Amino acid sequence: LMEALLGSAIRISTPISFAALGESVLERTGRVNVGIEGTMLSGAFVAYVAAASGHGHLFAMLAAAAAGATFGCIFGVLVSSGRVDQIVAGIGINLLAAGLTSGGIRWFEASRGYRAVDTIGTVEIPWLSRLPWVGPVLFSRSPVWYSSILVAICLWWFLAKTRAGLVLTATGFAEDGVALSGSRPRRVIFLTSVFSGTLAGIGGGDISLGSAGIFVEGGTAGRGFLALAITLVAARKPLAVPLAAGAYGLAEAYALQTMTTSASQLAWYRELLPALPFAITLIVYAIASVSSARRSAPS
Amino acid sequence: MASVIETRLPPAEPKTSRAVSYALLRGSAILAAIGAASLLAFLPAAALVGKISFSVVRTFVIHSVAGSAGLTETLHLFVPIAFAGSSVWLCRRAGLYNLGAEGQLMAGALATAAAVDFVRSPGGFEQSSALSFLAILGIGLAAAAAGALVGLLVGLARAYLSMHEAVVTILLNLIVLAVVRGATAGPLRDPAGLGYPWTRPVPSTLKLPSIGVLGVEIPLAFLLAVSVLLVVALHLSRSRAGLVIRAVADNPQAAAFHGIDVRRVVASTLAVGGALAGLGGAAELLGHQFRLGPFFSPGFGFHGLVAAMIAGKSGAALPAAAFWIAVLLNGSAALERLEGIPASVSAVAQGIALIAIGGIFYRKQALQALPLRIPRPTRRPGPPSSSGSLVPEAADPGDTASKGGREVLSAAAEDRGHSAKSSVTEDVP
Repeated sequence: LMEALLGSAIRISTPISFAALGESVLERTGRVNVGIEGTMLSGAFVAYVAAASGHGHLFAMLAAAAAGATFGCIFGVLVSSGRVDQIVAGIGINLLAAGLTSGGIRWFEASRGYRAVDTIGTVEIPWLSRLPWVGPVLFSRSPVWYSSILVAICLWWFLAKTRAGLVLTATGFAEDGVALSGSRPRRVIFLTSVFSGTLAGIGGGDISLGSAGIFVEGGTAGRGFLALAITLVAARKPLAVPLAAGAYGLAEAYALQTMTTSASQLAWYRELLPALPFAITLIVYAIASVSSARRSAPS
Repeated sequence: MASVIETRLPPAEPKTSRAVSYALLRGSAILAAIGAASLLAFLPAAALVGKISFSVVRTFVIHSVAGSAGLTETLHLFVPIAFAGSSVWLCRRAGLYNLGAEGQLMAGALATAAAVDFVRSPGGFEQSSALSFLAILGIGLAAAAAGALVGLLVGLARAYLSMHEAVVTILLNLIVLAVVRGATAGPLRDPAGLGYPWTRPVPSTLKLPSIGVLGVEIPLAFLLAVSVLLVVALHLSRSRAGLVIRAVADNPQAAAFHGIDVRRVVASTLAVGGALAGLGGAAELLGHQFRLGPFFSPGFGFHGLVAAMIAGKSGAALPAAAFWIAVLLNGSAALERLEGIPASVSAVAQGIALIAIGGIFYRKQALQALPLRIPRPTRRPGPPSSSGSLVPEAADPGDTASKGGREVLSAAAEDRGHSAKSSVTEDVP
């Protein structure tokens, strides 16, 4: 039972983890993309449509990444100049994506019929998956999850060890200083938002192909917004993102399990359980910001 | 560096006639953008369905503004959008992003449903109009209080914990929605509700009436919404509290330096915004739907958000934007029903308009976001009479209010370039 719980926690956390990784890089340049929800939605839609049209999972995920990159590109064009309100741009992207995907899925289903597609299966890592306890939980999972961990490590290396990563972080602190030192802050911001949109698109693709195999209107159900919160909880540190997302996934998996297995299935307070992970996220975020305020307070 | 600072200084005040013609130009440009956005969204959708014809336009217009039934429905739809929009707009003028109007509105609706049940409970409500007026007033207060509570929670988190209000409001939306679902499925559920998890209908003595004018039923809630919009806009532009809000948004450092408790302004503004959105929930429940259920809100809060973002700084543009969205929603719903064009094009139109207007027209006068770390109030150096309040004590309170206000604003304008720099350097560890 514990294994199943951890497994579904990882499955739930994967899309959020991907989106939050992109967002954590973007936030280092001093930008916040509220449109991450819509970006994920577009990824989920495109991945489903690609898979339902008979393409492979890899192609579907690439298509999702391209859709995410498109929205990231729109956001980058709007925001990199620094004159456009980023929250307005983000909300605009959310509306665009919501309208386009909900109209698009009706059109698609009217012409091709409704059907579920195969979900992405698990891949066992040859040697590690035979480890007792850890093996089945961590090393026989979806390849998307492995790649999210890989991306997290690469991002950590990029931000901490390379000059380009340093420029990216510096852009968030002082764009003028970065410009003086010979880099182009606007280009940094634009490229970063395209990259973060790409990751959000992949995360959205995993929502469609990772567990359900279908796309429903508004199917991301606030996961993009959660990714925003997870980013802040993880304090924009790429290595902390999968952990924070995993903790959220555990909370939601527990809530889901309680919902489906508890004896009082028809009790009204069952309706409150979906809010539990959000409440936990909020409380953890509050605690994290209290402690960061303490640390940065002048003594 | 000098040029950098210069670009952040506010532009010089244009002369009045020039300002008026500029505003007219701007207004017509925004109208053109809204129209273009609507066309840009609807034309491809209509082409996909294969129905580009005059009858589509006719259906849209008759069911949104031209027909009397359609117009009444649009006015009904305007009400919650306007209330939510005023909430978002007020907070935005303080440099805050209240993305939680949806949750605050639902909290207000929930409090309304509970209050209606409470009023009804002691065995038959008296059918006297004076009493029902009082009851409606009390119910409205309860709704405003519930919305304000949710808003205050956000405000406290924002002001005292430096949490990002956009993220907090989004999470609270999801939580409040779940609470409403739970309450309408449990304690407030109508036992004779045909199996739906919704509340008992509002008794006719508590319903907000409509007024017939020239054959069009104008809901009382619509008039209420318009007057609330007016009050909020006037409050911001004319009252002292509104001045403080604007001063905080323009330059929190300068405001704090002049003794304004920026944190308290932030918390109270979000609470007032929550109360406005909560009133919207009450107006929708008592004036239009009469039952609270899982499909009560098709996203009123988010539509209000879009209206407020399109309106930008202008209080006059807010009702216009809210009305446009109401027309768009009603017209596109009719198009889906009668012509088979998906109603989601209205979301696309809103998105295009938002990006076009927020992205192009508001470039120069973009409202600044309040920095996450809110500066503490500092006592004002100088005359010993200043005791940490905005205005130094003097004989005539009316005169000093305006004088103090002018001082704050001019100081805000002076400090603008420098403090923008210092806020950047402050965050460097």
